[in-house]
Amino acid sequence: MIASTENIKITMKNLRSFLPVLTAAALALAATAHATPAKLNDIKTISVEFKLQLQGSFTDDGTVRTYAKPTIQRLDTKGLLDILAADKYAQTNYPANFFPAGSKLALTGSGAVVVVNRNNELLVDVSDIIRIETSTNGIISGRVDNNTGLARPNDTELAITRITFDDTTIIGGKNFSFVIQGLDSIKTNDAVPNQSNGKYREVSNSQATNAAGEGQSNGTRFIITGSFKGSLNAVLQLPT
Amino acid sequence: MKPVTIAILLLGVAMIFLIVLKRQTMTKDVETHPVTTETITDTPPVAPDFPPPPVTTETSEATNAPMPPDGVLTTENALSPEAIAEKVQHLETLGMNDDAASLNTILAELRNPQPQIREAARDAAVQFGDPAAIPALKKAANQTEDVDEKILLLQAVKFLELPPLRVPQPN
Repeated sequence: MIASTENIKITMKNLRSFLPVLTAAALALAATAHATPAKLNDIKTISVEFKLQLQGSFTDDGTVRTYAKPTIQRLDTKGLLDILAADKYAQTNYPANFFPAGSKLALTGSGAVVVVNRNNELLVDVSDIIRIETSTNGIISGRVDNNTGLARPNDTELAITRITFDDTTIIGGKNFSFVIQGLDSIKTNDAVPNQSNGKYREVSNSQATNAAGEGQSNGTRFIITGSFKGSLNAVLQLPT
Repeated sequence: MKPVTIAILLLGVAMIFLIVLKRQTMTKDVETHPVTTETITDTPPVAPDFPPPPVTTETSEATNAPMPPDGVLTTENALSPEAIAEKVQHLETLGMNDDAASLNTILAELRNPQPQIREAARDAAVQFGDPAAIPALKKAANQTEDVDEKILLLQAVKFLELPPLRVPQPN
């Protein structure tokens, strides 16, 4: 009995000495569990559908240079994300050279281009590689609220939108760059803001068809054509 | 008074009592469940200028779109603008997946009665990027009577027939 009491005393003593270690481990575990990526609610999802006509090879007999027909390949959003993932991995700004299935390319309200997962949680900011800019001399039709500037309830803006992609400064990147622009039709629908909290739902769809541009892929020139779209469906808030 | 007479009188009183009781019950029902002539609409009670779905300045797509052979757009199966937007968003998400179930769901919506959903399904099929979607896109193109829709579907086929861009790793 005395021996078992002693054993209990020794066990309790051990426990007390390990308690700070256990506490620290538990707190660390809790911290990592709560370190989830930030969820972005006001993002416009971007999708692209591009056709690339790459410069064909040539033969030269000393008198005439004969160029082959261009090689035609497609570049969709997933393909663009693959390039971005490889670039970000080369920069050591992302832990893998691919993004998880369901990832999306998106434009934030502040103009940053980001990659988010299927839950709209931020994976990485790619604004240093890709920019999406809309011209300042766009024309508007429809109804706009004088006080809030919101569509009342619908308006359409025609503008020129340009996508610029350039990873050529990234060591170990894909050495891929292009510029493409097109006439963008941006249709916005805004609900009436809630009077108590200023929140409102905005649905905005933009589409640029017949976009055109040029670029290069690891030294091979190409002409790029196609379309790109933007899609936003979010609850926003009037600035206070 | 004869017992028979009393009995008949009592029966009559009982009948009158029953009739009065029945009338009172009916009146209560009308008070608690008033019958109105108000028509029930699909519009939820929201702010007066609750936004309609985004449309072009031309006539609404929903009224101009020809009916697909196996899906008729009626007031019964017409979705609310919010439901359409939600469905479109869901299809956009599916388009970025890479599993067969997502592709099957996308292709099934190529025959949806709602033109906006059919368009979103076409876009999602393109973004999914799998040439396995080509037969379904061709079939949808053959079956639609809308020329613009037919063109978009065939463009999607042509796009998916192209090889995907492969950016080699620089030396």
